[in-house]
Amino acid sequence: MERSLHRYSGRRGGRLPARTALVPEWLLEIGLGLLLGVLFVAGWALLVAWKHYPPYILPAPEAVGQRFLALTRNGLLWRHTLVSVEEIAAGLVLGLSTAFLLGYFLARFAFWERLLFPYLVAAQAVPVIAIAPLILIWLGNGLLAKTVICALTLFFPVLVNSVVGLRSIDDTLRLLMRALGANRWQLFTKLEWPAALPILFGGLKIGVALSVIGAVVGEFMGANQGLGFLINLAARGTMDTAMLFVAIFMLVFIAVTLYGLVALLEKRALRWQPQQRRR
Amino acid sequence: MNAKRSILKQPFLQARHLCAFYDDTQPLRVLDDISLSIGETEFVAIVGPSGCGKTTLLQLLGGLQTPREGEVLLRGRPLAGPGRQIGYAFQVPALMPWRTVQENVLLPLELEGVPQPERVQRAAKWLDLVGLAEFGPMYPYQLSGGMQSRVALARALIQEPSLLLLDEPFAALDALTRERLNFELLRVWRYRTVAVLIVTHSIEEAVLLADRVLVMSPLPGRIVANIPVLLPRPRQRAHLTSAEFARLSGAVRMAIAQAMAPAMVGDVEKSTFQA
Repeated sequence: MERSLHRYSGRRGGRLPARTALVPEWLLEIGLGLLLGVLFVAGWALLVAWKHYPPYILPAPEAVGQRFLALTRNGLLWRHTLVSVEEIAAGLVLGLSTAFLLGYFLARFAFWERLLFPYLVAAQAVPVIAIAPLILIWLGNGLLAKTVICALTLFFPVLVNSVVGLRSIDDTLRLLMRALGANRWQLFTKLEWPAALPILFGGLKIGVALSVIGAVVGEFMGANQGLGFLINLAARGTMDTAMLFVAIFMLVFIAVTLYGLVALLEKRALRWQPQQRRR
Repeated sequence: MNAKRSILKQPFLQARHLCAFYDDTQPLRVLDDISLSIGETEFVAIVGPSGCGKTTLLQLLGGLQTPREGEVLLRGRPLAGPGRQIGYAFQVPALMPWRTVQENVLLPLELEGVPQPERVQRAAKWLDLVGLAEFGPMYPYQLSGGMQSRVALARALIQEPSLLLLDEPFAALDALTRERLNFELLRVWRYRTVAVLIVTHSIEEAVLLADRVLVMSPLPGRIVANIPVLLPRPRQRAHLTSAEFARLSGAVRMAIAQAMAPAMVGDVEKSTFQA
């Protein structure tokens, strides 16, 4: 009998015999991460102190911090952040759902894929920045236009990922489902969806990062609120470079948070993958 | 008429004049006029050179393909398609990596709509029968190749089919594991509750397992020999080294060689004729 336990326990962990560590690995990871952040800010502060840059070129970190506190106190930052987050969320929902549905359709019907893909590639070749003004003219400069611009930015990579994911499903598993008399819905929920999930998560990660870019592009083109608008205001109107930095950091924070959420979701959803367990 | 037919002893599974083609437009045949019948509790092996249409034949008999010519009858009725009376195991275990071993085994019941507690109970029973009782919560990647094959076997049997179709189920395994799994298969089948049709390219495997070995010719596949195996049951490892086992293996080997030879001679004749 193949019941030697060391066999699967060995595969499960895939780790070397534990060294006697002074600090646990996760603590080391967090500590090093924080240290890198501190080093970055310290380097920045030193650079400003050394070169004496005027605040409109490069403000000191503490100036940015003060601007951040001022902006949060008068509620301005939250208002603009909320607007951007709304656009990003709506853009993600629209972009991801359409890209996935079309991807499913194209993966199932090779004829339509051959027919439509050249046009999709052509559409992708037009920079979103170039068509963003057009969308603003057509849809006004409210939430709808920003949502569409954001969705367009992430549409193509997510679409390609969906097609690839659904195409990569093992033929024998399809045959098995047929032998078991699975209906169309069962085929989707029990085979196609879980099998495509790892690759869909890849698309989701790219999509989340692109959605932030999409929202800012939309706001640059025409908006009176949102973090993109705040950046525009800071850079062109008032030379308020500290506020510019605050807005940029806020965008970074949104992107990293979204990415982290997706990564967490992925880890939960793909527990069956050996590489997910090892992490 | 119908009543009369049912009184007559019907073969359990019957194929009549089955032909299969490469595709709809070409006359090139994969299978040529295959007729066979299998008894209710019989264990039949099909042996043949690789690429002789064995997999196609199995898919036709299992209702995964519909024949363009000929027919397949199950208990005297034309086979409409796949169904729970037919269990399948493929050349690869074909386990879903995102499902645990237990979830893989109970998949057929889940699709059928069997309630959850019963599913789990039956999966546990079949996992126990294939010797994997404690492995239910594991994921397929944590199992060896031989264990994965057993999971696939448990999954094929969980609906308690009356016909089990095995398409080189142990082809990817090493010789030792394969032999052990052959005996496991015989142990599961020992009460003759299911008819088994196994496709293999191992002569020894065919003789060890089956009541009867059917030999197929190279393309287009035809059945060229029907060799009964009268070794006593339960089959044991001692049989593998017996004179009778060697004689039967020899007979199967000869039949395959004969099936290959005329095909080549035929080709030569044709080409000289054309020249």
